[in-house]
Amino acid sequence: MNRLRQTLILIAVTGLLSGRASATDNPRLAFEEVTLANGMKVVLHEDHTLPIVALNLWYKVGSRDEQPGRSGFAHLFEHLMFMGTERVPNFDVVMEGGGAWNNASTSEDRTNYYSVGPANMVDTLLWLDADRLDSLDDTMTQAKLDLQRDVVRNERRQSYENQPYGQTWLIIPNEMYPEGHPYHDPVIGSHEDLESATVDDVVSFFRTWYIPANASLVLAGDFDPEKVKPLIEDYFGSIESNPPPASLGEVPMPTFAAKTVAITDDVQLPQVTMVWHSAPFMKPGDAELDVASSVLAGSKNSRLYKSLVYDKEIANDVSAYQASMSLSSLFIIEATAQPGHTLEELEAAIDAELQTLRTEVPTQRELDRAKNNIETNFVRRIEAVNARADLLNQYLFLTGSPDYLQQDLARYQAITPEDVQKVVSETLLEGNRFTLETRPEPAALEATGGQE
Amino acid sequence: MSCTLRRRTPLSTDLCQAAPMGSADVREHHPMKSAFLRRVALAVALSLLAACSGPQVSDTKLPGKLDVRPDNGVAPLFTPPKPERFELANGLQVWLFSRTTLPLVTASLTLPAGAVVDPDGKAGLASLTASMLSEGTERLTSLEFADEVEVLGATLSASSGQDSSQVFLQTLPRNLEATLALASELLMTPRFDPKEFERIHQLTSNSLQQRQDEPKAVASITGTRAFFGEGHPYAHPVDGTLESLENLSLEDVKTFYSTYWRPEGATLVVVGDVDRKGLEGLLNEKLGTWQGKGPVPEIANPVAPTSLGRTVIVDVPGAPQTVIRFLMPGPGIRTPDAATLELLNTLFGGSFTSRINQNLREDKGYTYGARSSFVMLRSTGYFVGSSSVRTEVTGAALAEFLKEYRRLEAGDITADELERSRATQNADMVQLFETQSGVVSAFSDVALYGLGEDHLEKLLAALQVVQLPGLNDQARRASDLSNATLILVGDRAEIERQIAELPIAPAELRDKEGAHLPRETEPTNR
Repeated sequence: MNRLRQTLILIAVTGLLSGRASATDNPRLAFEEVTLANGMKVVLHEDHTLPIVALNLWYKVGSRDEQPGRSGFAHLFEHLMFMGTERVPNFDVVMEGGGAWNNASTSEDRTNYYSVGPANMVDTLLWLDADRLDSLDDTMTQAKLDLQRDVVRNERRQSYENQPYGQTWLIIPNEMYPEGHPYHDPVIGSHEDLESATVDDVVSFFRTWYIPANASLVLAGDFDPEKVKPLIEDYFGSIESNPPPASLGEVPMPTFAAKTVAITDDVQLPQVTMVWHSAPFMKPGDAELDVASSVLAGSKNSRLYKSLVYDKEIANDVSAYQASMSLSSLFIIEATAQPGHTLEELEAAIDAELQTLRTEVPTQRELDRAKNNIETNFVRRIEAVNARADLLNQYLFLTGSPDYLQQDLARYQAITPEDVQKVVSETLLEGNRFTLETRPEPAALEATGGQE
Repeated sequence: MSCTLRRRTPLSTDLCQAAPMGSADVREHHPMKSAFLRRVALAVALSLLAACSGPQVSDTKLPGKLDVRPDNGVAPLFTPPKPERFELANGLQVWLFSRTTLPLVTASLTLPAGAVVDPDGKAGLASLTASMLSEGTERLTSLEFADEVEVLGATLSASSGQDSSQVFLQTLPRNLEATLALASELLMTPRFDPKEFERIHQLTSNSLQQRQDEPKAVASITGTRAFFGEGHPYAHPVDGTLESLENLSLEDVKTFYSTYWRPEGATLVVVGDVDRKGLEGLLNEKLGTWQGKGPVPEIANPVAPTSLGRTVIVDVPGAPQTVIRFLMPGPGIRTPDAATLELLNTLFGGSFTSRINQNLREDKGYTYGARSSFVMLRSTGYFVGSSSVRTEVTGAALAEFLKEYRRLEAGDITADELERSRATQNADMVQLFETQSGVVSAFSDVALYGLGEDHLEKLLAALQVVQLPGLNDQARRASDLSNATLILVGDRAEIERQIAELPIAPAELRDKEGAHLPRETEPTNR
């Protein structure tokens, strides 16, 4: 049975527990990198295990780049990229007609587009993405904008407004980042701003940000590099490009004084969310905070889970994570109360655990648990070709080189218990924390006998 | 930052850099569908060339490389892998897919007892039993057991579905032996500590309470309860209801465990960086002595519900959207029409260009997405179509759903739609084999339902020979509006106002766990 062909991906098995592994023992993703004359970056990653290709494009534009009064626009624009061109009136029919599928996502920092399909579709997938980069603006209309505006407003309803605790994610950016900061608005935007968007906005946004010099393309999977390189040159190399817009540069981390906001929601159990500003993605402190989140809430034996959920039984769940972004990140702790318990109890218990971790070094076993889970996750997330393509693009975006998997894992391997204590004592302070308290609507309290 | 997860679940240590504030908004997500396959796509390419009006040359630019649409080419032949199979000393069946491409091993032990065998009045027992298996062993307390798993960087958990219960594990190859040792303890010597039972019982109760805050979860559990009808083995939610949970004791859990958790009828599917020789020795050592007690229980084979058309409203005053679900009778997993039905579903609501998504989202803008699927259980199933629509257009969206179902009844599927669905299904079959958990999940079902190890290969072959008349014939049968159960979760007053003129069954009211409410209940105001 030779249907699984030899793979070109270079993966070395390595040990992490020993703490002696060097970065070069870590798994590596083999690739070839080319820059087109118009400035577009191209990365090829071959893997012939299955007859599949993934095309993954990142544009360096996110909600941070929106104009005042246009919150949500980067994401709305992302939807419009699928609305067709003169050459391709129906993008998705061509895509799915060949058995391929696609998706896209927008964050604060970037927008990505990806298509995955049978290996024979590689030419068509490249052509589809080059075509819309070349000519989307020629056929943009009010009708297309109006339709996707409706879809996006429904996305907002479905993902935030009709979701328990969904307001949390609309409030946090407003509270954490001052007016005028690139992260002040949630990526999804406000209904009012979405309503304000015009066709002129769409065309101008496209011409500013959707240019080859502001894009990077990763092709991963079962293809012949000698055949696809001329295709990429033909399709993407023929598109003219302005220089990319100036980078935002370093944006200082906002100063923040402790603040608490209390809201009600259509939920039955109270929830508290604590948020701190934290180290930017890939910068010193970022990996340490990932490990700290694992020590705090990554397992049944983690500090917060054991205290709040297991021992005291005052919380139903607790989570902690470093939400990494390129300008400045947020560290978040969230816990939901058990019936009959209050947010004050939860906050006191969280404070006690944070105080311990600020002042005492965690154990080696806690570090081992965190690091070994991180290592397994590194392997797990490079299974599918599109996941690998996206990771290569992410490394290119953040570090300037796609060749960063080994160093990324090494960031975690190098962390000591002292590092974790240090980052917690410097970052997770009571004086610079935002606290959001969500409590059930008064009517819901009556119905359930009233906790809180 | 690159990933689309909104936040991490409490016990997850997923490294995925979750963007805060729910950013990374996804345009639309269609999870990989259940079906599969690959074929020579010459016909696909030809039909597409015909369908897509071909290359066009822009007036304003010189003809260039982009003006010529490339040929899709021919999809390579794909043959789904078959497992290496062997049996342990105690009769436990093992299916192995050895793959050395990544240092990872994934496995699932599946046994044929899920919520379907929950005793009357004890809905949620299978699920609660599975939860208790992770709460310590004779040797290790709950926390000690969790610690041993966590320090390996492994995942080891037990859960239940409708027809089955399973233990899932994922670990690095160097920790496989240690992880299997812990899995064997979990299976063979669970601690069943009364204190842990009280704790898990409470956490389960809390999560059932929280489920009521999730409109889509409410629609889902109300849908199966209303569709199958009270007392049917598939009617109740897998994790039970607040009422049934009160009836579950640790004694019930122990009885369920000793009756159903046994090697007879179970299959272990293993995928990853381990060879048969090494694995067989390890498994015989760790699991070969596992034995069941007492007679082997029969496998439940529930009959199809005697379904009658009904409309159910669950009131969420002031909700910005209405969750819509249509459930219609469908076949069980062994249906000979599986390939045809997968194609039907793909074009109706199983892909981005499917009829209901194109109509409700891309034409009308009523929703963020509309989709459908055939849920095929052991002996019966249902065809479900769903969407979340803006409250103000609930009636209009329902009218479009009805229109689309009637189109199916009329049998108007075109050759283009068939070929596009076939290409999608063929590609999905290949992509199923990209991840270890995908393979484990697909073949665990194949083993559970006794479909035969060449099931996917046969399904792939069957997909290639489906013709338009047969597909339209199945469409006419699948669309069964007179026997549809329609679930509407949203603002009752708004919904009632908008559905008054629609040709649907009179509405009944249910609570957020899908239980009947008296008709005279007045709408509540917010």
